Parts: sequence; structure tokens; C-alpha cells
Amino acid sequence: MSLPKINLVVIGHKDHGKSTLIGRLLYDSKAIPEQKIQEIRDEIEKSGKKEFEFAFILDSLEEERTGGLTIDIMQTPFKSQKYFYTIIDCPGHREFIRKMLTGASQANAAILVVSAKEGIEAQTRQHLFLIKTLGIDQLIVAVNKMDMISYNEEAFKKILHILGEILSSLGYYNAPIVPVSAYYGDNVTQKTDMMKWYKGSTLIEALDNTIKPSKPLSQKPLRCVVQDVYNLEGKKLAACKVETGTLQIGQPVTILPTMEESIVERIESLGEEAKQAFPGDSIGIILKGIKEIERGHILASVEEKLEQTKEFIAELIVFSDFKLEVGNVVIVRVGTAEIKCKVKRILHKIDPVNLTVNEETPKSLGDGEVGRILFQTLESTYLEKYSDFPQLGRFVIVGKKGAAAAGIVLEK
Amino acid sequence: MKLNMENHISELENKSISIIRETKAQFKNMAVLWSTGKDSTATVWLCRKAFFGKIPFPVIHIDTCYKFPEIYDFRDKIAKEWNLNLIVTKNEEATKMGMSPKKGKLNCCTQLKTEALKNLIKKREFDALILAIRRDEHGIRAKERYFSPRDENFNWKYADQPAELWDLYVKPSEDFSHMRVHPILHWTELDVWLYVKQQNLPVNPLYFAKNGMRYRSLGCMPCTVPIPSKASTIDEIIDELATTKIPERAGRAQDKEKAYMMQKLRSLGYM
Amino acid sequence: MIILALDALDFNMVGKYKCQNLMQTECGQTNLSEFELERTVVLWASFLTGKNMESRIPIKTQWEFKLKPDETFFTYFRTYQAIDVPAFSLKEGNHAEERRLLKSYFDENATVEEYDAVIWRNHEENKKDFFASLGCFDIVMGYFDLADAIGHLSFGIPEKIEKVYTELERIAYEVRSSTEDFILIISDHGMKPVGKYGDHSRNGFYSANRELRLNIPSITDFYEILRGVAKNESS
Repeated sequence: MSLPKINLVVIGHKDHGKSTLIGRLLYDSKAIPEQKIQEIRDEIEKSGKKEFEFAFILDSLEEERTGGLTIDIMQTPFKSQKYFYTIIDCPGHREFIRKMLTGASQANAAILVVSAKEGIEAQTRQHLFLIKTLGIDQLIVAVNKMDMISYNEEAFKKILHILGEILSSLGYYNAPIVPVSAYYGDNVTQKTDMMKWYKGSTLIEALDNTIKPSKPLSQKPLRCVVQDVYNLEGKKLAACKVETGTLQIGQPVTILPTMEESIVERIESLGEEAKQAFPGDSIGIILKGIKEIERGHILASVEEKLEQTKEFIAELIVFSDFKLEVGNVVIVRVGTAEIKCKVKRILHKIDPVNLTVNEETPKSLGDGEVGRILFQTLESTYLEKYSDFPQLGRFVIVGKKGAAAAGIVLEK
Repeated sequence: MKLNMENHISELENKSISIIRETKAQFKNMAVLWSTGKDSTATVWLCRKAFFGKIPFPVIHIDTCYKFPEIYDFRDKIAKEWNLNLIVTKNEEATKMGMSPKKGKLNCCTQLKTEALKNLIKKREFDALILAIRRDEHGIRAKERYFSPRDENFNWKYADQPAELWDLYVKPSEDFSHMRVHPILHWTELDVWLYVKQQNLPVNPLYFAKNGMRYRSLGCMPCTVPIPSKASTIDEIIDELATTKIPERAGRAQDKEKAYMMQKLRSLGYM
Repeated sequence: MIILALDALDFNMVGKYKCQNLMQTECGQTNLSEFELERTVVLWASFLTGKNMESRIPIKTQWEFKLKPDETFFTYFRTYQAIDVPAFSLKEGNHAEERRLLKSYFDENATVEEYDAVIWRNHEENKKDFFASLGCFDIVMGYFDLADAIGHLSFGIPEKIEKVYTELERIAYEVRSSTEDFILIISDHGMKPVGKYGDHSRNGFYSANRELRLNIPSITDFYEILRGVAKNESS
């Protein structure tokens, strides 16, 4: 009952078997009642289709929920020895990146599905690259449709070789690669006799072994973002969200980016006074004798010696009708702060399909393009590297219709 | 087990509250819609908690004049107890003209609910509205976002929605009339009842079984049908939900199909 | 060359009602996965041009959208006749009336029977035009929206849908028994039930009276095939 929850995004080229694999995972882990499966079997028989396919499970759940629209988030979790997995399904269409990003941004880990028959194709590389850009570091690869290449070890090794190069070029050095047949269930949740040459773990074991629950956020240094400031009985009450670390009454804190120091006088939890607060908590804080506090500020421990951010390098994807040019001033939303930043340089543009650097020092980035950018902050700012504090190292650029581009901070 | 459940509810609550505060911080003139049903009552409660007891914006109740008497009693009692800035709005013109479900259920809903709300938004210039919809409620809602921009005709362009990444809920710099905000989108029907129980929230008596029937969702009197049930306490409702297979809106299913079809045909460009 | 363009003819339903004449020699499902929404005008425009036209056709003005002949495969044929073809030669008046009645149905100003009557009337008109054109042109493309228009309000009512499929099967039979010519039967998308209503599905259908050996083709794949046919005929 107390298994940790993991959001899993399944990516891969169209027709490489994402739906079949998801259906198989749900079926084998008994996430779908036998009665439901029987209903689907009957339905298929009636419609004249010949064989039961696991992709139908997905179709049927989807129909039920949405009347046929591709859904963003599945409502059927499945359970392994270690985790409760919820699958986020990504539509495979190339042009619907916004949806894919919306779904993938909620994921803790990803499964990449590659067909052994078709090999690596455009969206294989593109999806992989996009989840990397979103900062998803935990990846498991399923080389699917092994049955269609006669479970051949040599053929698998060839794919392994090409995959290995792509994965390491993106920094996924240790991602396990499991040969499976989602259709027959080989190596998904059960070991198979068809591939005696493969000594590694099944897909579900690989998931359990590879995915590490993130270090408890409470053990990291304190970062608490201010959402708003209210007036409570004449005092400034900062409505805050604790992102990492813990906060207690009497604790000395630094307010970023103003660098003013203060002491936590009172913590209002929801409806009651509290002595301390933990990651995820939405609280109200009164600070002793504070001059200035507003939305976008961050509370950290005084023991850390932190400095304002003047410049930062980010990897960024543009996904709406929007063009980012050198010299542009944009609003970068990170945490609750909205910061005016100038595009100082576009370091390079990356081809998300071939994963090669497309252009050195390009002039602009347009819809669907990915690049590395040096930003200069035009007001006092504090933000983090994504690798240190993901919550304060990921951002969007605010556009006419909402988020217009998203990225993560690589260096500052 | 119990501790986990509390953790789960507390996670839901914290996330919802941070979304409500995000709305207040980013918009000038917001309001929350309150039907007095369980979902919107829980949402109004979350708003109270978000602002430490006093909600700093109006609470809107759309009166279709076809509501159950229990709804009016419940509304007035809670509004007083919770010190709400309550706005009751209705489409008087349509009511005077004798609009009723007999003139077509969808037509009636559009006139008495949607038009009433449209007029109010226009008059009061609200730029954000909090609604208590949940993703598990109905198929098409699986596509909803937390921040969902609408145009002045209330159109939701779901095929062309902005991306919503991580927990960065963003107000577009232009190009929308008002924002719909859905702070309990990630809750399930069961979650709501667990929360009602944990927080000891007031519940409209219509939800409890009487003579073997109870209401599972509350709309207008002529168009809401009770379901067979023996659940007469919150605990019994929670048990019932853990085992039931009937969708929540079964009482209103046909209308929902029709409404869904209309929405879909519109999005395909037929109407 | 004859193309029978049947809106919303569903791959599964053709099998369910065992419509042998619709199935012809080779039949199968089409692949629509590259499209976000199964919009009628978009799909027919993509069929006609061999290109994915989704981003080029705004929803609001889709019914007025018109391709020029030289953008379509018709340009490869010496003479062509296109009856009521969306994105090309749509009978705007008829369809505007159908859509107006559809809206009236939802506004509860018209009954489903009134709506159905107009659909069947327009269907008969197209049938007459279509059979009159056979044999007079190098290519005739006849479009029938019966399955789509009736289906949207009644797909969940088996008796009504059976009647529609019986009618379309009969048209296929009459075309097949009147000619040796190449016949392609194709739909833009399929249909699935939403209660008693019907919504577009991805089960598109195609069939031909000769072997094409296609494997779940995209709707845009037929452009090249038709160009090939035109070439053979002219040489």
C-alpha cells in the first residue's frame, strides 16, 4: 500500500509498439480486472478483428475515458515489487510537441520503445532528446518486436551498438536495454525461453532497479518560494511553498535575491500554527522585521553563501508561434519569479532528429527548434542549476498564449 | 495505511492551495464558482484555507430557479457561517420568458447557466474563475489543464491549448478573455469524500440515501436523477465508491452524451 | 477510373455487415495516425493532393476551402467529374442545409427525423448525378456523406445504420456490375458510438477491385497510385 509513486512516460517512434507495451504491462501486472479483459475480448470478436492485441486494452480504456481523444494521463496505475507506476502516454504525432511536453514534464522516468524490426527512426531520437531537454534522467529502453526478427542475438547486438552511441551522446550512460516482445510478453514481466542468450533482467525488473526515488527533498538545503504576500493582523504574511529542506520557527534565513537576512517568527500551516514545515507544504510565514518581501523571492538558510545570478546558460525548446532572437528581452518564469532576461547569445542550435549541432551561433530559434542560450538577467535574480535544484532550475518563457518555450538551466 | 491516506490527501490539498494562491497572485479580479455540491464546497473550503480563513474574492452561485430547496438552505447557512462574499446570479430575462427543461435541456442549461455566467463575467470584468472540475469526472475533462484560457464566447480550444509544464502555471500575456482555473483537477470522486470526512465539511443532505435512493451529483431538480443506494453516512458513501461501477454522472448520462457530441461536432467544424 | 468516396465508412462495420461489394478484391484499413483530428475536409483534401493538409485548412472556413484542379490528382486525367467532393466541388447549399439542421437538432428546433429526411434527399441527388456520369469521363469521383451524416445522430441505433450500409453496399454492387474499370472505394475516417450518437474514429476504409497489396496505407498514399493509373491510361 505504501509503495512510492512514479510517473512514467512512454516514448518512441510511431508504430514501434508503445501501446502494445503499455497494454502488456497493465495486463501482466493485473492492473486491469479479468472481467474488463473479457469485455474487450468480446468486443473484438464482435467487431470482426481476428486476434486479441494488447494495444486494444489501451484503446478500450481510452474510448471509455475520452470517447477517442488521445489522453494525456492514464488513470490506471500498475504495481511492481517496488513502485506504483502511473503511465503518461504521449501522442506520437510529430507536430504535437506541446502535448508531449505537457505530459512528459510530469514524469519521473521514461521508457523508450525501439522496434527491433524497424530500428532507430526519427522520432526515436527526437523524443529522447526532448525528454533529456526536460531534465528526465532516468531511462529504460525496451527493444521491442524481437519476435519479428526471430529473437536473433546478432540483430539485437547491432541495435545495441547504435543505441549505445546515441544514449551516451545524450548522457544516458547506464540506461538498461532490454530485448522484449510486448506482443508475446517476452521479458516484459516474465523471463522468456526464446532469448536464452540474454542474461539481463526483465523490463519490470529493470524499471524497479534503475529508478531511484529521489533523495528525500527534506534532506536538501532549504528552498522555499514566495507565492504572494498577504496582510494578516497588520503583519506581512508570506504565502510560501517549501520546495526542499525544512523550515522551523526561529530559523535564520536569507531572502533571495535581496540578500536580506531575517528570522522565522511564525509558521501558519493550513488552519493552524506549526513549528516546522516540509517539502510540498503550502504555508504562511511571518519574518521578523523584514523590509521587503514579495512574490518570486526565495528563502534559504543563512549558512549557505549564495550569490545573485547575473547570467545563465540554458537548453531550451521553442514550441509555439514565437521566435527567439539574439538581443530579445523575454520574461522567464522560474519558480514563482518572473524575470526580465536578455538573450545575450545563442550558442548553438541542435537538430533534434539527427542530434547534431545544426548551426554555431545562430541568430534565432523558432517553433520546434532546440538550442543552447546564454541569458543575461536584467533585474536582480536568483535561480539554480537544474541538476542541483530541479524545482528552481526549470523555466518557461511567457508568450502571448501562455508558455512559449521551456528549458532547464545548465550553468550559472 | 491510515497515515498513507492522510499523506495522500494532504498532498492533494497542498497542491490545490498553491494553485489557488497562484491564481490570486497573477490575476486582478477573480472569483470562485459554487454550486453547493461536494466538489465546489470542498473547493470553497480550500480557498478559505489558502487565505487563512477569509476569502478575498466573491463566491458565485448561479441560480437556475430549478434547484432543490435543500440547496438554497444549505447555501445560505454556509455562506453565513463561512463569511462568504456571495453573489447569486440568474438569467432573469430567460426565466421570465418561461425557460425550462421542457424547451430542451441543453437550451435550458445554456440560457440559465452559461448565459447567466457570461453576463456576470462581463459586468464584473472577472479575469479568472475557479471551477471545481475533476479529470476523472467525464471523458473530455481528461484533456483539461489547471490553467485553461477561454475566449469571450467561453470557447475552449482544446486541440490548440498552450503547453503547461511542471508546476509553472502561466498567465498568457494576451489572447484570452478569462482564465478557468481547476485546482482540484487531479482529485477523484473518492478523494473528495475522503477530504470531506477528514475536514469534517458540511454536506448537503441530498447526498445521503433516503428510501433506498441518493444523489451522487447535484444539478437542477428536473434533470437530476438519484441512484439506488443504501449509503446514508460519509463512511458508507466511501465504501460504496470503492466498489461501484456506475459512473458518477449516470443520472445525467444522456445529456452528457449529447453535450459531448455537440462539443465534438463543433471542434470538427460542423457547427 | 471510378472513386466511390464514402464519408465515415468504417472498416469494422463493413466487416460486421459482411458487405462483399464494398470489400471488393482487396480491402483494408487506412492509417490516420498522422492527423490530430479526423476532419472531413482535411482528410479529403489530403487524399486529393497526397499531402497532409491539416495545418493549411482552418476549422472556421473549412467548408469554403477549395483546391485548384492542378493541386489534385485530377490534373493527370484528360477528363474528370467530381460530384460533391469536399475541398473541391462540394455542393455548398446542400451541406449548409445539413449543418443548419444539425444545429437545429441540438437547439431542439428540429427532430432527428427531419434531419434524416434531408440527408437521404441529398443522397438520392448525388446518386443520380453519379450514375449519370459513369462512362463519360476518364475519372469519376462520387462523394456520399450518408454514413457520416446519419451516423452522427444515430450510430448507436443498429436498425438505422444497417439501412445505411445496405444502401452503400447496393451502390457498390451497381457500380461493380456496370464496369470493368478500376474502382477505388475509400472513406475519410470511420465511426464509433457515443451512446446513441456517433463520433469519428480512426478506422478508415479502402478497397479496390484489383490487387494493390497495400499494408495499412495512409490516405495520402493514393495520390501516387492514381497518378500511375492516369499515366497508364494515357499511354
